Amino acid sequence: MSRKAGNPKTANIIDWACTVLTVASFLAYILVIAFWPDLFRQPIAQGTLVSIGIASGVLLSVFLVALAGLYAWLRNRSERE
Amino acid sequence: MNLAALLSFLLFVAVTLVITAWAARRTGTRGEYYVAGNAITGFQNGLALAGDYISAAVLLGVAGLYFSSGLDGFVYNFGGIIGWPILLFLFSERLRRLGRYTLTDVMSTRLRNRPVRVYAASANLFVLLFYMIAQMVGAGLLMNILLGISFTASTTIIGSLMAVYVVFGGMVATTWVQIVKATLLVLAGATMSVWILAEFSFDLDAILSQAVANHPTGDRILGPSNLITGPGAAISLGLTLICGPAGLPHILMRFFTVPDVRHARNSAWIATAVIGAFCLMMIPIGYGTVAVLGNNPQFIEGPAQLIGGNNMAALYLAQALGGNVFLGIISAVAFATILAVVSGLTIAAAATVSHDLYATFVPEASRTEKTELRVSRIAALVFAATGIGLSILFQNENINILAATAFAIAASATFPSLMLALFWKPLTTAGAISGGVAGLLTAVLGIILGPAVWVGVLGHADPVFPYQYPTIVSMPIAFAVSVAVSLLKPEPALQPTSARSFS
Repeated sequence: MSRKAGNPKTANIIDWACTVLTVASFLAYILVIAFWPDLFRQPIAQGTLVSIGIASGVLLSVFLVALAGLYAWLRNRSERE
Repeated sequence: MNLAALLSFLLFVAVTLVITAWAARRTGTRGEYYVAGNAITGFQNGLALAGDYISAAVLLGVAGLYFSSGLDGFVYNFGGIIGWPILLFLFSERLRRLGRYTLTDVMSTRLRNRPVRVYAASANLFVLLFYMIAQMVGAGLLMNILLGISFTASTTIIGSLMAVYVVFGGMVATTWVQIVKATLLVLAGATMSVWILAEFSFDLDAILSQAVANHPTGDRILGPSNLITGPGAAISLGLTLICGPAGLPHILMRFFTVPDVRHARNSAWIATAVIGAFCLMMIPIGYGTVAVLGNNPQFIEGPAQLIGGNNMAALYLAQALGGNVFLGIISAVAFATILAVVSGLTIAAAATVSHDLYATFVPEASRTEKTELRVSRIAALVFAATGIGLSILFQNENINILAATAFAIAASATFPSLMLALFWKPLTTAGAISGGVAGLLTAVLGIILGPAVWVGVLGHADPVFPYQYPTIVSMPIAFAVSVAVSLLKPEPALQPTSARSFS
C-alpha cells in the first residue's frame, strides 16, 4: 500500500481523494446547519443533553485528525521505501 | 492592575528576549533569517503553525461566541480545522519542493518573475496588514482592560517587542516564540478544560444542563443559532474557512523552514492535531463560560452580555475558577498569543519586501546578501511602525471585521492564483494577476456592502450584499477571470521547476 502511494499518479489520486473527503464532510456539516438546524439540536440519546451537533462535530474533528495522520504516515513511509 | 498578569507577561517577555538573543547568534545568512536555515523539525514547525492559527481572536473570540450563542462557537472553531488537512494534502509537499523563501517564489517558478512578484507581494502585504491591525487592536484593548495601560502604550509595547524579535532573531526567534506560545496555550487550554470539568464532577451533561438554565435562549444553545443563516451563508463561510489558511502568507512561508517534504507533511499533520485538540478543549470551556458566568452578577451586565464585551468570556472564566492568579496566567497567554502571531506576520512582510520586491528590482550587481538582510530588517521596523499607527487609527473598529477581511482576501486574491499556479498548466501571468486583482476588489467590495460594514459601521437598515464573508462570490470570480484571461491570451510556457507542480 505504502509503495503504491509513492507512485506519483497514485499519490496524486490520494491527495485529491483526501481533499474531496475533507471538504465534503465539512460542507455536509454546515449544510445540515443551513437546511436542518433543528436536527443538530436533538440530543444523541434520551437522558443526555449532548446534541447531535456537538457529537457529530467531535466525531468529524477526530476523523479529520486521524485522516491527516494516516495520510502523512502513508506518504512519508512510501518515500522512505 | 492585575499583578499576576503583569508578572506572567514580564516572565514571557524575558524568556522570549533570551530566545531572541540566542537566535540572533544563529541568524547570519539569508536562509537563516528568512526560513531558519531549513532546520526546524516537522514537530516544531507543526506547533509553530498551530500557534500561527490560534491567535487571540480565536482564543477569546470562540469563547465569546460560545457564551453568546452556544454551538455557533463550536462551528466556527471546528471550521478552523478544515483548512489544515487541505494544506497537508495539496500544498505542503508542493510548496516545500517549489518554494525557497517566500510564497511568491512558488508562483514565479512558472510565471513571469517581475509582474507576478509585484502582484503577489502587494496582495500578501495587504492581507498581512489587515491581519496585523486586527491582532494589534485586540491586544491594545486587552492590555487596556487588564493592566490599565493606555491603548497607544499597549500597541507601542507590543509593536516594539515584535520588531525586536524579527529584526534580531529573524525566523529562528519567531518560530521559537511561536512554539513556546503554542505549548503554553495548549497547557492553559487543557488546564482550564479539566478544571471546569472537575467543577462539574467530570460530567459534560451537568455543564450543559447549567448552561441551558443560565442562557436566555435555553436549550437553543445546544444547536446552531445565527452564525449561518442559509445555504449561501453556509457555503461562503465554508469556502472562507477552507481556503483562507491556504492563502495566508505567514502560514505558507513556514513550509520552507523544514528540511524536506516529509517534515513538511508532519508539520501540517501536527498542526491539524493541535488545532483539533484545541477545538475539543473549547467545548467544556465554551459551555463552561455560560454555566459559570451566565448567572453571576459579578460578570454579566445583561442577558448573554458580559461586562466589557463577550470576548472577555475566557478570561472571566479563568478568574471565576482560579481567582486573579489564574486570570493573570491566562491573560499572559493571550498576550503571548498576540505577540507571537504579530511576529510571524512581521517576518513574512519583511521577507516579502526584501526578497520579492528589493531583490527583484535592484540589479544583482548593486546588492549583496548583507544589503538584502538590511532591507529586510528595515522593512520589519517600518511594518511594525505602520501596524502600531494603523491600529491606533482603527482602535474603535470591530476586530472581527478586520480579521474577516484578511481571511476573505486571502481566500479570494492569494488562494486562487496559488492553486492555479500549482495545478493548472495553461495559467498565464496576466491571468494570475487579473484574477487575483478581481478577487481582491470583489472581496473588499463585498465586505463593505455586507452586514458587518454596511449595517454595523455605516448604519444602513439592510446590507446590499447579504453575507458576512464575500468568498462565495469573490473566489469564483477570481478563478473565472484567471481562467478566461489565460485562455484568451496564452503566453509561451516558462520552464517549470518541477513536473510535480502540475500533478
